[in-house]
Amino acid sequence: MFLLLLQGFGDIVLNIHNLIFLIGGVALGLIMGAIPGLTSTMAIALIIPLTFYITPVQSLVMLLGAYNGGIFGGSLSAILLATPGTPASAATAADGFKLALQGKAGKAIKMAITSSIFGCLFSSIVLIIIAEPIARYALKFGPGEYTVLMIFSLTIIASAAGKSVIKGLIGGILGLLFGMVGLDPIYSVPRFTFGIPYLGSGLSLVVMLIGSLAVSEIFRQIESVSMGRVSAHLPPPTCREDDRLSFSEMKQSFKSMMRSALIGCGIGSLPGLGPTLAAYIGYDMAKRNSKNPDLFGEGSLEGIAAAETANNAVCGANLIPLLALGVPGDTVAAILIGAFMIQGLTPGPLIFREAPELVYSIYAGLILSNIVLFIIVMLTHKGFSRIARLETTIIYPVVLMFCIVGVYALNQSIFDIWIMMMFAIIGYIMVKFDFSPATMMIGFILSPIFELNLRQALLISNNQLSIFFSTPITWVFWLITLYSVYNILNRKRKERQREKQQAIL
Amino acid sequence: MEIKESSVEKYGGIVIGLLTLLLYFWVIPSQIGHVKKVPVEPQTLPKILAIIMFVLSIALSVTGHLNRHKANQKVYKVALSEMKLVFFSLGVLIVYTVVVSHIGYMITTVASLAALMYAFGQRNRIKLIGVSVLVPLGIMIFFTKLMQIHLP
Amino acid sequence: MMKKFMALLLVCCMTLVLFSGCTQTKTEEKFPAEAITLVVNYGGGGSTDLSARALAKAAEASLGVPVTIENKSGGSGSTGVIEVQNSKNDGYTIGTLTYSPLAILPYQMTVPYTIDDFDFIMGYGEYRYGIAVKSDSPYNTIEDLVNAARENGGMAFSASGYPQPFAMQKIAEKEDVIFNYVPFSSGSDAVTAVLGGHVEATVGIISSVVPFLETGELKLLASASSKRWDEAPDVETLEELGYEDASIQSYVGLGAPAGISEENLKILREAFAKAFEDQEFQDLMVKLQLPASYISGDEYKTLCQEGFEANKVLLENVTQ
Repeated sequence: MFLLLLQGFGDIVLNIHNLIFLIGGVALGLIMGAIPGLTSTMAIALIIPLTFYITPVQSLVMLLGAYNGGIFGGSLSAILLATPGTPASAATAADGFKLALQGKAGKAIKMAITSSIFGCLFSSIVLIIIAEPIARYALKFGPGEYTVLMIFSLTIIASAAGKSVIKGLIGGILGLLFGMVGLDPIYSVPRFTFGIPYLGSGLSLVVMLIGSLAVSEIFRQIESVSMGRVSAHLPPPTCREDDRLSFSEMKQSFKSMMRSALIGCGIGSLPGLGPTLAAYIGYDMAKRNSKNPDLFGEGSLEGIAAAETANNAVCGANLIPLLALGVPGDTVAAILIGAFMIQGLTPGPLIFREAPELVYSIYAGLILSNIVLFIIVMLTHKGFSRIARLETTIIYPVVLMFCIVGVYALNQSIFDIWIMMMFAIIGYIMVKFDFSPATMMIGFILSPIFELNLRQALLISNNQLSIFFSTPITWVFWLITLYSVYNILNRKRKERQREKQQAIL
Repeated sequence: MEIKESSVEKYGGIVIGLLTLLLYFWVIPSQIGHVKKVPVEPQTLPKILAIIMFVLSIALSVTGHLNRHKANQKVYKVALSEMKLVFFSLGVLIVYTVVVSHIGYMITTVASLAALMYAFGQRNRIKLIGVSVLVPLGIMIFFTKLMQIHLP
Repeated sequence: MMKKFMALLLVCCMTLVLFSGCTQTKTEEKFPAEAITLVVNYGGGGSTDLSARALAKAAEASLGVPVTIENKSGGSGSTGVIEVQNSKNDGYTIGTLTYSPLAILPYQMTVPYTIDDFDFIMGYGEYRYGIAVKSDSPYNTIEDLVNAARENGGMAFSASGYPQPFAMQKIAEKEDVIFNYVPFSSGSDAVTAVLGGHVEATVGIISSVVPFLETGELKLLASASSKRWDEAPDVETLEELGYEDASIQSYVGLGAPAGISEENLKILREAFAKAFEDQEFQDLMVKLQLPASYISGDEYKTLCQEGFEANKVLLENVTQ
């Protein structure tokens, strides 16, 4: 196997054409990810037609490069502009931007890229070594198991709420309700569509994200502009330290990175979940176990590390169900299946027999894309930061336009722009009154998965609730859920104690 | 104006509660078909969520009411003067969306950019015009040539 | 200074006008005189999208103009269909009008179109379905499934949407047992549910089932289409087993807004019929496991209409 892997590497590095496609893919993904409104999914959908004309290796490395680059690209705009370029970077936006406001944008970016490639390399290695057994194990996750996993994920909402759990839960439920717009998963009955067929496929996560996180954040920034702040959007680094990432800083976050990498691998190998969820869960887990939980949300490097590692770990892990079973882990993987098919291959159990060299080229491509990404980012990040330091009067209008155009480009739909604006207003009001739009996002992401699996499970078991307690996997997740709730209550209790003490003082 | 956090909680809770009632009794029944003879149907989960939301809104309201005399509360500043620019931007965006499919992408975007930048305080003519024209141009080239996406 | 500024402004304005005024004028010469847009009603990378792209590429030769693809996914396939409906019927906008949004979807949600709103170019593929179970399960025939369902008061099966459940419904009606339909979001999800042992059987799409037939993890009990599967020629169809009317079908085809001129429709039909024969297209269809079958435009319309009528039964399940 090692020999085959080396062969895969050789195929790419030594063949200049393949290398160019890899670099091109990464660059394209990076740019698309960085522009709010465009996502890595779009980048990949665009590349697909090209794959008709190029060799299998070239098309696949280009796609993988774009995927990887895209997921990271979103983090660039999240850190520099507080507008996550892709949903996966939503968890990075808060801390990243706060750090950027302190002039530490360079540090934040470096932390993000380091964690991202760490996550992806980790999951790539996992993919290479134990894809098959993991995929087999993932099969055991049926609707019942997914439901309990979702219940656990719902507790993340409470944890992400910040000060007021009630407000967080309200936000989460709002998100859950928004997630129900569309056709009912079982009976295909339209829900909340108000007679508009376009809403039949539901609201788009990206549109909600751009509206409620990006545009609303820009509105917040605009407030300060009207108070007379015409200067640069971001302050320059105050000292050289701010631009660098020190080894000790990395060491501090190492535990979080490992934890997030495992979480990302787990979530990635379960079809249907996606990098955004992984990022939020990784972030939340890090916050609970961190020595500086208060720093989270205010500029915690550890938080960035946790979120970024998790979401990029999904990159590699997504390929696990794809290659082993032919089941796509998320929309991107589904598009990748198309690319495979154009080349005449069916991903799934047969591919190891039909075209093992190709599989190893994929592995090599995945690993190399990380290196390429790292190099590109290290070379260009100063340039990006410089752009972010332009005057507010230029930056905000331009970014707003990008948001609009990006959202339009998703589905060539003007309607999407209206939805984006609705969410922008909702997000703006939410942030003004200390609700967290993140809770709404998490609820929105979880809603379809939760409801679908819940109702599927009930259909299978003929409405017996016992199905949710039937296998060891379900028990494990119930325990994790209980622990999570206990943990949250504990934290709240400690917070209230601290408040009382401070009041006394 | 300044609003105390507890007031936000109290009145916010009431507002949300009322909206939730609207949701439960009007929006859900009118928007979601009813599937007979099954225990779990399309309306089930939304209704449950609406109920939970209602309970939460009451909890929020009560919390606010109980805390109304708490010291060191956070105070929310809602100053309309600050938000003028936000409203303006929102207005530009709305006009943009309405108009863009009729007048076309290029003109609308350039005009909007120029308007926004001017409102934000940019007075340097060169920058104004330069950015207003070059950026949409760049976007258009990128989208139509590279990505083959049609702009209005 | 002022003059320079005005000059700059003027130049910019002119550039703007040039760009925005760049609408192409349609000549009245031979059709087609410029690029044709093909709207695909599903997302990029799916079998509908890929097959349409291959077809488009092949048709460019006979048409002499580029055929560009526009993906308008959403609304379970209806968004793209609506897009075609609203386009000008000059022949420059066509689209994939698949069977499901035309014959099934109208029962599930309000759509603004009917089959009569379109003129059809041709049908080019038929999705194949089959009933499969896990290899190590005790079921070897449909009869086994029926018996098990009878003993246990019901059996759960997975599928990724209509028309698949119809097959099981017909069996259930004839044998007086209950088969519970558990929907999954895609063909592969439905299959993994069986592999994981969460449901007993699936009415699966051929492309999701075949890989596992070859590795031996799934058993095909019957073909749910009108023909047997090429990959499993020994497995009978439901009709052969005695269940008339149990075969299900769904097609993919091309069409344009109604009212297109006879001439233009003829040109399109001929060009795409020729494209259908293209070897690269045929190869791709094999790879996609979407059996290519040529259905004339009028026949396709009839198929959709008949299907629409037959699907009234869906109405019974839902009330508004």
